[in-house]
Amino acid sequence: MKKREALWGWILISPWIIGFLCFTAGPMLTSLYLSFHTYDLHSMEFVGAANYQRLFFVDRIFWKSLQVTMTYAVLSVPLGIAASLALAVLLNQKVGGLKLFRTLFYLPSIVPGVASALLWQWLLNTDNGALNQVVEWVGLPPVDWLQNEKFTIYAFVLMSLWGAGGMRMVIFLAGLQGISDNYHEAAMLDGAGAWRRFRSVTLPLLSPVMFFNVVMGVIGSFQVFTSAYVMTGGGPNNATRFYALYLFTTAFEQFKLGKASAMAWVLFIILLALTGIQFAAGKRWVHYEGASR
Amino acid sequence: MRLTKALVLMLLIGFSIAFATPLLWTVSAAVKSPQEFAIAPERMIPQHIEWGNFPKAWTVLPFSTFVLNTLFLTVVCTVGTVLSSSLVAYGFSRFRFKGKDLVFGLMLATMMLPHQVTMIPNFMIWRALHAIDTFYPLTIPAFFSSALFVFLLRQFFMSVPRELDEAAMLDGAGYIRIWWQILMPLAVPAITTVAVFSFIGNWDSFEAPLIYLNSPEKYTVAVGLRMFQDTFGGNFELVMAASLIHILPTIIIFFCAQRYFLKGIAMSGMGGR
Amino acid sequence: MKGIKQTLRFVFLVAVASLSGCMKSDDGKIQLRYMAWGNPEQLELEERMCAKFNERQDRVHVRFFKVPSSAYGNKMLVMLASHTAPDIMRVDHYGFPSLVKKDYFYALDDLIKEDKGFSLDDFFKSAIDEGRYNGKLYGLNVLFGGPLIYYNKTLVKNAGLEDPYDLFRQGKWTWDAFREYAIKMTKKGSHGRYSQFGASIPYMPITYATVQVRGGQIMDPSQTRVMLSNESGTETWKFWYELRHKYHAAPTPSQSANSVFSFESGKLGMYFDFMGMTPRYRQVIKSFDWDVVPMPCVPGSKYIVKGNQLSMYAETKHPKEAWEFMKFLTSPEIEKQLAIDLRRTFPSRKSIAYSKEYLKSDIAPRHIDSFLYTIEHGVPFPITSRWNDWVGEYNSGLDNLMSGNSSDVKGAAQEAKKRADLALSTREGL
Repeated sequence: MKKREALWGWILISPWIIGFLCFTAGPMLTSLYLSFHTYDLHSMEFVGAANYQRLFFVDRIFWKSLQVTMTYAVLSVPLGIAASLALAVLLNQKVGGLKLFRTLFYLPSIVPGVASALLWQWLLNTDNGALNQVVEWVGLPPVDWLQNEKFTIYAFVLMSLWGAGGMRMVIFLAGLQGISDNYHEAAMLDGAGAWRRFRSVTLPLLSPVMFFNVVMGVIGSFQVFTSAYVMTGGGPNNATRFYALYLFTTAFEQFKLGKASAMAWVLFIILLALTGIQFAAGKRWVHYEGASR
Repeated sequence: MRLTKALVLMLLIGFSIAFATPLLWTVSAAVKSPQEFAIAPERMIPQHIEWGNFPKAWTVLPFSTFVLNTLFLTVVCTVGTVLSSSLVAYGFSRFRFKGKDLVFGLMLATMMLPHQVTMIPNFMIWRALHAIDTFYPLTIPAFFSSALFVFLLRQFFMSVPRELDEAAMLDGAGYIRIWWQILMPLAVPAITTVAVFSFIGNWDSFEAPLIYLNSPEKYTVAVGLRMFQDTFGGNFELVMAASLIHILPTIIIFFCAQRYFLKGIAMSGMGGR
Repeated sequence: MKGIKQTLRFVFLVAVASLSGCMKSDDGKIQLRYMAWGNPEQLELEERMCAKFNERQDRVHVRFFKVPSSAYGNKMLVMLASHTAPDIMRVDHYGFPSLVKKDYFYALDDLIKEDKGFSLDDFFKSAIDEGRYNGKLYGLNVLFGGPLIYYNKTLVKNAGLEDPYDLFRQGKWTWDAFREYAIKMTKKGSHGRYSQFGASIPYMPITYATVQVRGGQIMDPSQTRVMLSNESGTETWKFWYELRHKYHAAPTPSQSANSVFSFESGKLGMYFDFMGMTPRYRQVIKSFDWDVVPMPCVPGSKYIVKGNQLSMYAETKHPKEAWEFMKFLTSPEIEKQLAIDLRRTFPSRKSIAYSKEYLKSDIAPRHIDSFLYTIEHGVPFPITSRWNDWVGEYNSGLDNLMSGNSSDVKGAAQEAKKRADLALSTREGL
């Protein structure tokens, strides 16, 4: 009986296992193998670590793309999390029409990537885009959001904030709703004000959710592709050459598949390291309910 | 923490306006005539509404084909993922076997794996199978379940009392029948959640079709829209109209299944706990 | 339960329907696929040529296959490398040398030898030479030509200037004259914003051609080193930088975003492009008069010419039939129709290019001899299989200069050269 159960267990999870072997594990090893070769869909040649060596010591654009992506992550993750949390706190109040507001907040994040990129291209238009009308109304000169390399990253961060009411906010909201009122009441009896209560009760209790959002946000920054591909194509002067975009163009426009595989592995290692660091640091600030400290 | 009601309402309304404005601008841009677009682009409400932009955008490129292709892909992928993921989730939630936790942990770990690591070899596999410029590379992987959906469905199956299966088993039902006749009907809300996720994800999908599809008659809406920008980029009112064509279905789906959708997200976030 | 079953049934039906849709009704004809890109006008024309060919054939049917321009090169490479390429395709010469090296194309020499009715003698020699690799011919040249200047006659007249073509005929069409024209045709509207620009800076690599006509060189004769940053090159970059950022006679990238100052908008005096723009302009430009003039060229320098290759896929199953189609597209009849009756392209055949009917035009552009002049005094673009490797690098070195974030012309030119040389010295594929 037990054997049969085990057999059935394996059979049932086999779709995932087969998929994992064919589309994840096998390809991962292949791409590691490829990263030590040059390959252009025509001929393959072993080049040792030359791909990596070039990436780290010669390729300017590789470093630029890392810098762009990191800057974006450093700006968009904290800002995005703050915005999402603020929206979630607002939606956790007891006022009317919350459902409507939640829907309105959420809508931007289901706008498909290409459409949203085209829409923002239009909003960020220098001459008559909506954003520059606000800028000019304030009395500032129009900004070349997508043409001046000094501003492009902010344009992309702004665009990412438009999606603050999405998945992240809903997760926060669920987290907030999961906090039992007892905690607040206890704190209130201690005479804590609203801000104090938020800081010392809500935030610690939300920290696991927060942690999840930080980790996913950093991973997400390394996946920015569609918006950059459609809006700027990586320009001006590679100021929007996000890592995922550079990897894609290296692979499917220049067909340097060996180099692109090396980039993919570098990305993998970076994300692994970043996630590891976050987990280590997380031990200090993430409080799990019921866990002893 | 309760702020004063008036302040909360004001903030809520303010944010709603901020979030809705870009979409409203798009709608307004999509119904402007080219002349008005060139002269007075700053007007939010067009002087004259040019409904003709929509049929024009729809026909200058074969959007009917794009929509049918995308629908086909979306439906096949959704059905594939739902079926396979629920089977796998069933395996993970109801069966005891050695190594299960290890495999489950591995599966959760793959959710953090950047798809770029496997993108190129996968392309080579499909190329070796002569499947470039077909729908196979875009549909077949869906039948091997998705880690996120397995996770969500497993959470749900765990909440279904085991007594139900055991009773069915006493009646002589096999494992597959228990899955199909007991768990699946009970899991309709969870399955709807997964299906909606999958639908929106596939409708939105851009990179994979961009890589695998070459013939315009096989393009999806996302790739077709990019082609639209390429060919008619100067006619911004048409680009906006075409974008709306792309946006609309996801909004409709979202409104119809909002409840399930938001619940699913909240559940996936609880993975962090 | 029911819902799931119904969904499954629906999916099955959709799948069957779409599969059966893929299977073409087979009328026994040999099916060929032909792939090309272009603006909507060009695509429509290609479609018509295919239809015309099909009308005459009872054995062969050619299907026209469009791919968006921006993805054309990538998609073609993927198709060539994954055994799914069309039988015949138009290849932009920029990408041709790197593809022909990989044996993706069919050598045409034997087909030509066996075909008694066909001769290469009537084609421009430089056009045919472009399609050769290792002594064999892999492409028939189409859409041959060199970049020149399209100018808005109405704006020229309004600015009180002499027609550039007359200036050219008098030998006075110099780069100084060009600059003067650009400045005089630039206008500001209300709000202090520019409403009209005299010229736009040519897109890369036409800018490279401007280096050459100003006395510089693009590459050294061995085609391994970039010469664009030598003295004449640096002078050229300075010329363009100043036209945009000192004289403000050319729009910056953000000013020209969304094609506000495209040539067809009527808000641009002079625009550089190849000859292929004429059909589009003839169709969309209604509100002003326009024509073409060769670029100014310092004595002793040469123009640049470049074409597209009509090539056959090495793996085609029907080389004979594909050759028939290629021959059709480059036949005197079609060339005559395209160049003379429709006044669409510049012909690759000399007999047409030098015919009176072609050179005399009643509709814009009237100065057809500008095309001919450019070709007669032109040399091919030095395109090698490394072209795409270094061009992007060189251009990126100039980005900051051209966008006005820096004014150090020499530094930018040197930086660009450094990047391009580095790319060229790296082994291919890395």
